[in-house]
Amino acid sequence: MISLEEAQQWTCDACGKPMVMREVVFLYLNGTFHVDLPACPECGLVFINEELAMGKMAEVEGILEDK
Amino acid sequence: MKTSNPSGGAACPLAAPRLYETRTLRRATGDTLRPGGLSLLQTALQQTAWPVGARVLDIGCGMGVTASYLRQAHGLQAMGLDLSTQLLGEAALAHPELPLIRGRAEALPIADGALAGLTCECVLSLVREPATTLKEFYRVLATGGQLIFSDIYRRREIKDKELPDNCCLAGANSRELLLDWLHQAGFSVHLWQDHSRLLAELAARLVWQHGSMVDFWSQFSADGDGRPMQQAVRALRPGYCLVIAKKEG
Repeated sequence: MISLEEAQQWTCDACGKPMVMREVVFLYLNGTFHVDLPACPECGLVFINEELAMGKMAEVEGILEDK
Repeated sequence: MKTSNPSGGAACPLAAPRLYETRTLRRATGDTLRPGGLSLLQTALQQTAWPVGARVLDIGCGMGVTASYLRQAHGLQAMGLDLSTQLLGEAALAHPELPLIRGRAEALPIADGALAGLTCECVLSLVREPATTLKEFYRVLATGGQLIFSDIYRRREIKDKELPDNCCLAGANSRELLLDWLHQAGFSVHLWQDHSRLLAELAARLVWQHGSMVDFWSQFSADGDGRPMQQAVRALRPGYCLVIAKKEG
């Protein structure tokens, strides 16, 4: 899980704004998920860190592909 | 995912606290407290013949979403039954028009042949005696009455001793056993559909919300270790099914 404190350590490169936690609608392997993720309050760019990409998303992939 | 009584020790994630009464599960499932929300019910209703005004009981009604939907969208005289006073209280607040009964699926306070239909979603795997419960369902249905049923089932047969103590998923049974019990109760089975994808999507939502399935189960484990529960889940390969069964004349 990404905390608010961790999210605020990151800044949107395009807008220069600190990231905020926001509910993001995620379409992944034909599933729709509502996830709290760091996002730029200006342009909406979402930040996915390595832990999320390599850990949580890998587990979700395994579940949805019925492995 | 509501009534009745799982196998029950402190180590069981459905027992203490009851998973189906927690905000944790509700956040992932919505107020129906089961995979797929109302979608499987809507699929099944296309193949049932309940006329407007027919008496239908939702067993394990939880917060009353299904029974209220049956009344409002289909004009049925739907009632709800659950064992949880907490969930019944929430159902009464959310749906004041809904007749609610506190009781067990295994012993319905309903006369023989009194109902045109029963719905029972994500509940049978939690009752103590599922075979007896299905006979009870048959008893309260009128001739021609239909049961809409969905639940978790085992897609891989393993010995119960391979499961952690008091594992509530022990209540999930195989397709063959469920069909056998339905036939033994007197039902003819008109539909069996696999909807395991809905269970997978629910599990995926739990991973998004909690970090991993182990982290999710750890919240409900007596010793704070969710790994045995997750190992049991992987061993069982739980799936989700939709069944329509009929009491023939």
